[in-house]
Amino acid sequence: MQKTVHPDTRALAIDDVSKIYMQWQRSGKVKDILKNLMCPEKKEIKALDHLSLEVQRGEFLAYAGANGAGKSTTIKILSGILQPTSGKVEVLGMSPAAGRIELMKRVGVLFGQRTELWWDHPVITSYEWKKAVWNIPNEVYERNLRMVTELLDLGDILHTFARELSLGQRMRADLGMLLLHDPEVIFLDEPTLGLDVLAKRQMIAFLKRFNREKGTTIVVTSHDMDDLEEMAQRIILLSNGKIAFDGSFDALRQAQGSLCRINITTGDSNHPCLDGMKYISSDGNVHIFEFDRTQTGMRELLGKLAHLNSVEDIEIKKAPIEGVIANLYLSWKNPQSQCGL
Amino acid sequence: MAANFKDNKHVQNMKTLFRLLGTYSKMDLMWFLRDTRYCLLQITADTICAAAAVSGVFLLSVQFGGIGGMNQNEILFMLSYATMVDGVFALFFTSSNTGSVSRIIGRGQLDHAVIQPVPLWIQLITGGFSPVSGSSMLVCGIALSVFSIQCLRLNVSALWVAGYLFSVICSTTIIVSFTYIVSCMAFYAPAAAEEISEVARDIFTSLKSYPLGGTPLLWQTVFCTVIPVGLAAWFPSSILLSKMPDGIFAGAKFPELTAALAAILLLAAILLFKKGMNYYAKNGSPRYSGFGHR
Repeated sequence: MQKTVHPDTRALAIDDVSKIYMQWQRSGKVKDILKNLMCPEKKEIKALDHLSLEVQRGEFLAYAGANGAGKSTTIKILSGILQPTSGKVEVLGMSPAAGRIELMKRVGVLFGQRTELWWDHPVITSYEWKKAVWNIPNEVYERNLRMVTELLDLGDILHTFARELSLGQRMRADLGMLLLHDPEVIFLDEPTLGLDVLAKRQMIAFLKRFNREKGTTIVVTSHDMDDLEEMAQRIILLSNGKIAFDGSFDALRQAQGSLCRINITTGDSNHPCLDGMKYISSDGNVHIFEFDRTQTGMRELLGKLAHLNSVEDIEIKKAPIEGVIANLYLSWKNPQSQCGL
Repeated sequence: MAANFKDNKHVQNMKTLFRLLGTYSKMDLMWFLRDTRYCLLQITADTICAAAAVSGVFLLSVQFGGIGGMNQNEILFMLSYATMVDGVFALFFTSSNTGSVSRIIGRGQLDHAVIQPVPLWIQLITGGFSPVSGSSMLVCGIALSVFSIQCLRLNVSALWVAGYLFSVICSTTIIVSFTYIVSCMAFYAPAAAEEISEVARDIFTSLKSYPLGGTPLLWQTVFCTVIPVGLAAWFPSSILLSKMPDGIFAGAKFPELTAALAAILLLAAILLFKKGMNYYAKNGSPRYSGFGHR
């Protein structure tokens, strides 16, 4: 791992970390009863494979990858829940396993599919519980409670039982609770999972503002690439426990060949044929094509469109990041089908 | 030096322990104030359970003029002791599954515990503390104990009361330790052993009310060592009544013996739980373990 940055500016450092799980293999055949009982076959699953990365203080990092790529495992290792099989991990200069108690006072962890709220108590009781467990000073608690109540619009739900909240309300309440102790680093594991559009917008806007104004380091995992692109400045893509890409979203697009999409509105519902452009879909008279700007220049594109009859409108956009990532996942799964990085 | 004392890790832990006991007391009280009907129902149910647990063996002793080498009043004393032990267990370990720790382990809820800046042992001791909703069994135990002591016309001294309370704490420790030892299986088979704490607890619930005086020495020994149900009521109450049992503990006079056995079991529970936690940190996600996919 390169160590060009002064350690004090690093929020996290993962150095050559591997995590290996053992998965039992059972045949379910009568002849294998003894084998399953005495010496079951085990398969090695490499969740993380010599992973190294650094995150600077104040960064907003998107941590993405296909199912089983190792995202949650990384978050759990950084939180001290799991220990790596090999390698070294530091969060705020501390080892999550050895300095768990001190570290947890400065770090916040939120698993999107679980709640930290007390189910049979109003939200405010969970907040007071957090104040006691984290030993948060009164003035810090009151200040942060006012802030999260205002910014996350929690006023109406503070006295509602957690079990009676909608998913969006629950996530807001969970996020508010996460921030009560002024964490310097926040790990969010799929925080937008299952949220509707409005709830997602609210959460994303809040996280961006929090990162910008407080300088809190945020590491977020999600499968929703559009959400990640809206939130984070940097994305790390994991594939089979290794970093497949580390950089900005624009760089990711360029690495995939500057893909663009063009919506062509014609007077006909049959989609036109355009050489060098990939037909995606049609919605009535609007036909969507994908093309690579590095291969098809604007002049060439306009020339092709000029040959079409009845073009009423065109709209060119960057390809959705979801599509870029989907192509990547496909290329990792089947290297011959698509271009990888 | 004063500053050193203040910063001392153990002092900090004690402060945290009492702060959390206060917090959980408040939460329990608030549950009573908010959901009074349900809370009263739980208290009533616990009281009925306490009465039911003692009445069977007590009625048998009335019918036969005593059983297991104990007369009717001695049986009542032993049953009151058992109720006291259940009361202390209910007070600290019934709520939040801290007494059914295999549920916490099996359901992957230790993740929530690990991200709290508090030692795990403090979380497990304080997390279930419910002095309002969980005290009815203890109140029944105290009332029964006072009544049985009056029936026995015991010459009670402060030392004897201290020994009695100490024995109750030791017996509760034995139940908790045994339950935790068995519950450690949930680290290795999270789904299959999720409810195993209840099985371990049920052994005590169903057997500890029976006096073992009339059983063969082998069984007495087994029930005071391997499956320590005898240490949850019969053995310590016999010692307190100065009725020295036979078997490997023949001649025992002091509650310290119960304490020694409690300490051994507690130590075993701590070691096995730590071993289980290491396994959990190493293998973690139930997703990748043979029994744990949920």
